Amino acid sequence: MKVPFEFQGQFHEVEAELIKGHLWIHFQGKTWCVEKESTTPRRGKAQGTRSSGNRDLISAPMPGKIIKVMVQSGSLVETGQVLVIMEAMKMEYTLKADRVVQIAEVLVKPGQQVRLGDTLISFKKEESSS
Amino acid sequence: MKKIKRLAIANRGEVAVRIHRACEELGIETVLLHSEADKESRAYRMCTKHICIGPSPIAQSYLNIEATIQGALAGGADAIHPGFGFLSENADFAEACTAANLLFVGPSAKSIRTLGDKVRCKELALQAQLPLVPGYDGKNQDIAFLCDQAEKIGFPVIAKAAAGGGGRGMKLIRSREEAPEMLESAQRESQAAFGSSQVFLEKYLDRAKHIEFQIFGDSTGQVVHYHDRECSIQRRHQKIIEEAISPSLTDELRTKMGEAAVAIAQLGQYQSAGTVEFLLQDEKFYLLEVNTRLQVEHPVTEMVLGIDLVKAQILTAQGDFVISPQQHRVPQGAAIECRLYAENPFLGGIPSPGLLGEVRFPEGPGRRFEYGFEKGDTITSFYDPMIAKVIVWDETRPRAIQKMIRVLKDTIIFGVHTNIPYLLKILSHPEFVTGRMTTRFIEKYLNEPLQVEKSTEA
Repeated sequence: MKVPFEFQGQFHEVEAELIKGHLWIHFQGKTWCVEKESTTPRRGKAQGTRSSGNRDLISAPMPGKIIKVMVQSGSLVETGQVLVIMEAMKMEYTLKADRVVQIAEVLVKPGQQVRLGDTLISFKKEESSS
Repeated sequence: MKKIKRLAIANRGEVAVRIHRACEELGIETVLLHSEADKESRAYRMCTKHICIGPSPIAQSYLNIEATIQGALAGGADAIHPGFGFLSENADFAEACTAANLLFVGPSAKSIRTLGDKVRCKELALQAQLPLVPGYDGKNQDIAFLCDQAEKIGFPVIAKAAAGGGGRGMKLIRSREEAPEMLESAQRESQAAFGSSQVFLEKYLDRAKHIEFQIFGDSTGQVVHYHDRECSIQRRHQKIIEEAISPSLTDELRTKMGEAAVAIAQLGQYQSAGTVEFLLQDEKFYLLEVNTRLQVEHPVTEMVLGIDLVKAQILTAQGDFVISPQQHRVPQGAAIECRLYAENPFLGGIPSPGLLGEVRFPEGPGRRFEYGFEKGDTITSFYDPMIAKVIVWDETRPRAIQKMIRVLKDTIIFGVHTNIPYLLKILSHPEFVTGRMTTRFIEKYLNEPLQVEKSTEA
């Protein structure tokens, strides 16, 4: 659907469509996807990805299947160590630790289907003194 | 040989549409053999008949030989085109087709067995004195043993599925420490994708170009090559951008590599369309593998030569395709293909399945769009996340790049994120523009997720 709008004193037309609560916009060679709710003030950010800002857990970056869990609760892991291997669209993806941290709990098992944003592993809270 | 009246398409997405269109031109009816997930697809709407051969997981549908053959017979087909991926390089499937009195559109089961199995293909290459990349291709699949072999070859080493292609089951191993984990992963992926966990190892060439030759064997057994393509732009060993002809070959190299490609195809008594893949580094080329099927990137060859490879395959299968020896096919201009994937480049390329909204491609001269899904269809997480292929042709490579950039910018796909911003970054990178790119291009320049511009949320 073409939507006319005014930007910096000039009239433009954008292609736009609302799909499942997201507004998709194509304008001057670029496509944007905006969560409809996020156009109104709202606390917090979109969930589900590492950009959720929660450093205390690893969540599924995409829907898929857990292939292998490489750590147990209580293990101390190093930066770059493989935590979980998952599969989506026939490719394997490896989730690694981004720092030295201790595992609090493993919440998934191999073979399990997970949704985007599901928590897979939680970390022990870091001590603030360091 | 009998003329094909109705052809079964044992595939999905854009290639199913591609095959259907070739059949339409030839006056052949089509039966789409589809999974439960693929009722909403362009091919489903276009084909003459459709038969559901099983549930969405590929093991129960698109990889199920028995269900596929039964579906083709129930649909009244007298031939099967396997497309690419799935059963296309499965010799047992080709044999099962013949046993059921169905023409298999592709090479003979024997050719698939000798050329398609990477390990056997290498034995043949040695006979033909084709240069090979150093590696290990034995039967011993013990992880500790493979680690030792990898060390002997010298890191970095690449592990690949003996039975497959298309990047699945392929892992790059940089050190002894990460070798066991990577090898296990490669074996699992190979098992899941191809039903065999056997992998082989190869030395990883760190500044190589991927060059391949389109080969074709006609109905009389004559084998020719239809020139070369360059597919150096790959991510996780999956091609993203392909072009014809390669900007990297001298005339001398082109002649030598073309002759080598034809030589191995002849040894394998090749019929129909196939591809001989090489790595090229420091003016030396090494045989990578032979793909005994149509390639995803076949359109770039068609664009520079003005041929129709799918039609040629179908005609060859029914004994009607003879390449005239006088025909000197000279490639014209430059063609580029970009694969559009449903993925989010701002989150490191993770898949982005979903319901498609508006899908619109900007038509124009020298622009070609191969797509299998439209508005209202769903890109599911059961299959490869490719939405479409965009192919452009122009008189020179710089103009083709310029055209591709414009076309991608004007392409509208709503409902799923796409790799278009990522493709645009590649197309304007100096190393791509000057044609100096190697297979490590992505790793070197675009390994990190793209940065979201300004305050927009992507």
